[in-house]
Amino acid sequence: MQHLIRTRPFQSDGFSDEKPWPSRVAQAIGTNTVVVTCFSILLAVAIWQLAVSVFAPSPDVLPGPNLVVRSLFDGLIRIPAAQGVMTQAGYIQPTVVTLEITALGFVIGSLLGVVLAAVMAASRAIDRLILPWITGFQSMPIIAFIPLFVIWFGYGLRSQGLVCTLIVIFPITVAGRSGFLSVPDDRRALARAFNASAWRRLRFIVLPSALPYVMTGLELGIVYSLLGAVAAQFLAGNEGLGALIVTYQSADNVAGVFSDLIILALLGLTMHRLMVAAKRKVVFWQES
Amino acid sequence: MEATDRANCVGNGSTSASSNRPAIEVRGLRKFYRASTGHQTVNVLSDIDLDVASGHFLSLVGPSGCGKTTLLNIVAGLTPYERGVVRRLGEPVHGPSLDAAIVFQAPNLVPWRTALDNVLLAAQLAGRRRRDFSERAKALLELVGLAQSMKKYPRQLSGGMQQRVAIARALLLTPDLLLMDEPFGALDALTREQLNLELQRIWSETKCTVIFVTHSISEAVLLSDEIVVMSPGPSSRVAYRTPVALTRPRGLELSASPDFGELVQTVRSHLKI
Repeated sequence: MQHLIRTRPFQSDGFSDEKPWPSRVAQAIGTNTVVVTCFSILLAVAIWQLAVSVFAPSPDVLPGPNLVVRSLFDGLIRIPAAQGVMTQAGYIQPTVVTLEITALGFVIGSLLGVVLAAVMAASRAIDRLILPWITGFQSMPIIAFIPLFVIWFGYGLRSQGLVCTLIVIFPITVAGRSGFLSVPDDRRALARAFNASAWRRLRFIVLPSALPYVMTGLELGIVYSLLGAVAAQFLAGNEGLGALIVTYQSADNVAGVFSDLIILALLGLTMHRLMVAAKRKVVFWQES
Repeated sequence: MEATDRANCVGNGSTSASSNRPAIEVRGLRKFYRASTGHQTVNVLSDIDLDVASGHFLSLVGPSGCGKTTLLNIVAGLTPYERGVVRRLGEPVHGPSLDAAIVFQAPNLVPWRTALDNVLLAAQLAGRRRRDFSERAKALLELVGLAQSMKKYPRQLSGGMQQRVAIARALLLTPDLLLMDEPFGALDALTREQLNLELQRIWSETKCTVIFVTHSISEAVLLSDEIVVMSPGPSSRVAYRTPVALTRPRGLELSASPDFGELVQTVRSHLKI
């Protein structure tokens, strides 16, 4: 019967002296997320540089990492040069503008979304009336409305803010509504058993039960809002990171476009991470 | 003992201790509903007559689907009934009220509150001020043996501990009646035995009237003053009732005694599954 019992070779826990040092180093590196991320970024940049060196594309099509880094540096450290807005611009101000619109759209859209979700969860009539519109609008690209908003409200903050608000409001409403409607029956029975009024039920049972869903919606919403702000700036903006990309594009400054994209990626990543951390704090009782 | 004084079940305005009236009266109760297909009526409970004297511990025993949970929910005021009379403390039942506390099969704690705050949730849901009850909440948690766990969250508590928090929560507003729907059904046998003894101790100190739904005959015999056996559903009725005259306090070793065994056998013989 011995052959039926399979035994695996003894697995080292990483601290043992039995493994040769290269694999131990690799194991130590491999378990640290920050190190791996940095490593993979460096690897990507190296491959990029290699591709540029080997294939030598025109800098107007694919600039190498050195050009992009220079552009980033110029944009972040130096103030707009006398040479004109066309080739160089500071990133600080456009970033601030973009963040403002993103935040504004996010906050207003989230508040309205939660309120709307609460109303829909409270009244089945209203729910039936509004739900098709919500799901309908969610399925279409809100940014397609930008030209219309430009006609109605002109260029600038109002149109952009409206786009962001709309982009955020629909997923938040859907998420919030799910949350409000999915309070476990047992918990509802608990509220009834203690004679809770509608307000007390909302405050102590329904809202906290819906919170995980709402926070998940917010996590998505913040990124959507950024996307909306940038897209709106393409078409309706004279300021901001999106408008800057268009400016670079018309000046054939591809390195500038790349560096702007990097900034946007970092912004999006940071905001998402912040939301995830907030969610973990607020909805502390859930195991992820 | 101070803790038990503060934790005493019977509220100040209660007359049930002094009056002759049973704490719970059920007369000719019928519960049915119309099935969606045609005009078929499905009888759940038919012609239930039940009285529970004040301060008594009554167990409802019966096979699955016999409507014992429904009956408990009707007395609790969570489920409507179609015919008959149901009275709690002399008042007809129209809905839940704070003098009939319910302990469900699942502990039903909210995960975002600590054990202490879960107990206080009862007061807040009922519209009372949290600080008025915080002394009592602590006393009740001590009574159920969770003095060390007041600041813990439900996910840090075992099933048995969570159920004890639920019992403390049910007792917070000094109910006269305690309605328990298989509260220990989801727990392992050893924890169940321990909690049976705890419940007996808590009940003897707080003097509530208890209706206790269970599947387990031995649990019913251990805990109750009276056992009511229900017939299998649908259309259940009271099949058998018997007082349990064993002396209190009752310990686990009682299950080896011949009297205990006889009672269990008698009840079992009336339990048609």
